[in-house]
Amino acid sequence: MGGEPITMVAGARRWTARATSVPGIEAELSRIWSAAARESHEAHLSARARALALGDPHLAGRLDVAGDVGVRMRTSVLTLVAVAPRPETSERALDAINTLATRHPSRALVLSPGDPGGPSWIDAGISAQCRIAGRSGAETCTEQIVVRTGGEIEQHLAGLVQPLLIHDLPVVLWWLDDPPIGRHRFGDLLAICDRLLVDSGSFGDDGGAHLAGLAEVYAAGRPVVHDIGWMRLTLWRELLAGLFEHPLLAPELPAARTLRIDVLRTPSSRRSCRPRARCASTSCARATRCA
Amino acid sequence: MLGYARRPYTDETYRAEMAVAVADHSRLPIEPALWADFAAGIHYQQGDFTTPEAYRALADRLDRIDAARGTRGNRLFYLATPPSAYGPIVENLGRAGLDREQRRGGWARIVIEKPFGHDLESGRALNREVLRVFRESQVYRIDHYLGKETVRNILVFRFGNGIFEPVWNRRYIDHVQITVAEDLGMEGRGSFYEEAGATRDILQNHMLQLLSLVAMEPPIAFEADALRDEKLRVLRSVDPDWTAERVRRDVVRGQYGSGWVGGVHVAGYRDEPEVAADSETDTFVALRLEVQNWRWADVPFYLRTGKRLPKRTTEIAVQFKRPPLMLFRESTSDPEPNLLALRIQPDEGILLRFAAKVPELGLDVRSVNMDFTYGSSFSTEAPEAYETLILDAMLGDASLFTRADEVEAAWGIVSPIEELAAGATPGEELRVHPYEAGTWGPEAADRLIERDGRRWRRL
Repeated sequence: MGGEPITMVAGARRWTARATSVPGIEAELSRIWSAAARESHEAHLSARARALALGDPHLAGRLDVAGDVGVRMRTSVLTLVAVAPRPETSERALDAINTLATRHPSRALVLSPGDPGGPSWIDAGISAQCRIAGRSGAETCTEQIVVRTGGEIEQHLAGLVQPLLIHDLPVVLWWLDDPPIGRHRFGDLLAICDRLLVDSGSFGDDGGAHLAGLAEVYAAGRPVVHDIGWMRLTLWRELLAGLFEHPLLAPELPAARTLRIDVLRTPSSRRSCRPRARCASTSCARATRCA
Repeated sequence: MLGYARRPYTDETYRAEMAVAVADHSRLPIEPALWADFAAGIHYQQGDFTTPEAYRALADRLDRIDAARGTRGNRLFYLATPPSAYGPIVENLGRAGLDREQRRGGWARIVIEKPFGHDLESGRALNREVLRVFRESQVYRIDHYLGKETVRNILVFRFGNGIFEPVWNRRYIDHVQITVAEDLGMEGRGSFYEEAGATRDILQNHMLQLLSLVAMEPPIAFEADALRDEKLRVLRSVDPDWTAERVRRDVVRGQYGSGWVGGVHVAGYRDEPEVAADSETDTFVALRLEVQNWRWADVPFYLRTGKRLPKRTTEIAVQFKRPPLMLFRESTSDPEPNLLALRIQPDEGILLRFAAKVPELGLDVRSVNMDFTYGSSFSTEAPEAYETLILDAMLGDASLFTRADEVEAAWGIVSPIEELAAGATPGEELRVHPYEAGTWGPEAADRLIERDGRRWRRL
């Protein structure tokens, strides 16, 4: 079970804990949320107690019983499972998750499997945070569980993840490195998620093979595949499509079979690129990879 | 409190052992002053289960305790013994006159733990044995599941709210799924489990009790017999005429092999201690039942329970029918039909799923959840099921205890399945299907529900 007690970070409604097993993680999460409930209940009572029952323990006791329940609804809208074996990718995942926290509150599991040859172990850092959303004033709460593992567990991540999924919410699997398509451990995780998120823009040597593998996953219909690389090219795609809106080019479109795009590297930045057609420099800078 | 067993304790050594046990297992820390006071009321009497003289000594001891502590002859006998000892104990309690309720108002009650027999015949025999000595109103058959806060809440949810009852029937409900999933394996209970199996251990009692609570008619009063009358009627509405063909179609029994659960490698059932290498015991059972009455005719109830499943979870999911006409054809996704899930453990709560418009141009409809969680909404900790039930037994409230006729009706549903399975030849559908630990049971269980065009919920 978890070693350290829950600590609440001052100034924010944030709680952290550690655990070394999956049941331990579950236990810590439930401890965190009952601590949160106690806190809001006490805050609620003290305000009323000051007004009504100061110095009257009998009345205060009655208030405790009659006090309204601060009903809490789950605000998470998804469970995000990020698999990031390298420390730098796991940092990147956490940054992105934090940025998205208010707009897409979630339970985020960041899995960092390491040292497959050694003995099996689990070390999890758990944190939960509640924020008041800007305009509506409603409170949203998120959970982050960073799980580092060692040993053979790497091959059985689906079993580790399943007890930690929030029931009835979509599960998004974010694979930060090249997806090991066709591997047992990947297939098991795919089977329990609704969406797969990859970034073809960061695929290693054989990006084409990965894309072909993903096309098969896509054709199977489940899970739905989202490619950050493809989303990143949205501006390019819109730009190219826009060319054919011109009255002179539009009639050519039905006959077009292939489209060649030549790319020029500018001396100022090795990563930016632009097609020979007109191009706004800002949109070029956003595309990091060109075909 | 008086402990009665063969072991040679004294009051003092027994108290010392109790103090350690309470310190280890209580959900609240011990307060020394309170414990000292409480411990003065703990006693021990050494005795055999089968020797009549020992029970007469027990009766004398109880009288002395009555006199010393003013307990007025109120006695609650709790049989924390193997079921095989129930018969002799009850008989001897009767011989020693300990079943009798006294003139001055002292009551005598007996609590027995499941299993209440291992099939219909032995269940009936046990009831006969107990009822030869005690009256039914003195007997408290404990099923700790019924003491759980959220199980009791099913009754409050159904009958404390006005808006759900009108839709709680075949007109609006498509089907109901009840899941009792455990991630644990045998944990040293192999020899017990070899005799029991999932069907006897969980289905016969916990699951059929949950089914009764969900499907019952409103009782005329929130009172033990009124509640149990209605629960019994549900069990009696389940068609008990199992043929081999019907069992093959509507029941799937499974047994786990080795696998990974929660990041830990676990052994298969046949490799567990005290389990036969060719065991045919079911560690998983899924089945389709119908409650044949006016409220539920043609609404299937899908039940599944098993060990070494991916997670520990118990829930009842009520799946409502689709709207008669889907007006929002432009929507990119068909919203799921309404769902009401009563989650019993862990993460106790109630979830309602309904369709909502996605806030943007156009009219896209998507399913959203309203998910109420107990743990984070009530700051008071729920008592343990046994705390609730033992208090109820002391207060004489038998609402959450199982009556003899309920036990027999439940065996009436379960026994024929067990008999047909036991008589099946190797390789037949009725035998146990293997499944990998850490999965949701054998594939045959998926086919059982997919045949009706439905799916098990992902939990």
